[in-house]
Amino acid sequence: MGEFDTIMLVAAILWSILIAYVVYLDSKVRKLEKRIK
Amino acid sequence: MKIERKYMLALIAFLYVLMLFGMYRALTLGPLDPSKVPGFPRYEGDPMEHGYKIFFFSMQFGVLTYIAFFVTLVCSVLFLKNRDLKFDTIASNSAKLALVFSSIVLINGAIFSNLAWSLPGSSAYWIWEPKQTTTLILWFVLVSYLALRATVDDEDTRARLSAVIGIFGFSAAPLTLLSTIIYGAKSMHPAGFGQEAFQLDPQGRTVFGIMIFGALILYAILLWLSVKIENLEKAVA
Repeated sequence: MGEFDTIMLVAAILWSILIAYVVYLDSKVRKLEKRIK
Repeated sequence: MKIERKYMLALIAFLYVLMLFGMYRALTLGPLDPSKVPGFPRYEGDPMEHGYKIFFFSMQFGVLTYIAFFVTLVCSVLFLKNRDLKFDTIASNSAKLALVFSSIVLINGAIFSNLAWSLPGSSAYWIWEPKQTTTLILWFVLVSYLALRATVDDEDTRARLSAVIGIFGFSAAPLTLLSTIIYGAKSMHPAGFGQEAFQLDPQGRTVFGIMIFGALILYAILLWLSVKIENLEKAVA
């Protein structure tokens, strides 16, 4: 695998991590809202 | 404002599909056109032939860094004017996001730099090019902003001090943005969209638009959620 392919793979993983982080934050908001109720 | 969970998940799924589509479109772009870029290829098997596509994975984080820091600036001014802590919460969370985005830009930029400016048998990950250097300065400003916040316990003092740092520190953003113009020939980045070497074909423009649009949605969701979490945590405590 060349450097260029590696970069593309890293970019795809990076976006997946960012999206997963958004899902994590969203579930954290739901949990906190439940605690307040 | 409350968003139903199913709508939020649908938005996140849409964003993910959009970014995957953007990446696929970027990968299927043609090779760099030697007639548009003077001096290209520099040697046999120049990696920039396809390596230029990293631009589509890197530039949106640069744009987001400026936008996120600009939001910090605006909210810092609004805090000093109204003394409302909700502006301080938005400013600090936006600065955290700006730090994340600028870190990604620095790493991506170093990889791009090596592809674009190294010669066979040598590496050029960091060459103190004006845009690289000014982005690093911007990164240090953001680190100092957040470090200052971590050292002050009193909420009001912390908000006032960080608002001042946020306003003055923002001057690093236009310095980075305009470094190609300020430093002229010393900068190896294209000076702007008007340059022939930077003319994108219609497919390239589509990918550019998709990546920017997706990144803006990502920033908006991240900021909204992180501000909401901080407010909810304050309410729980």
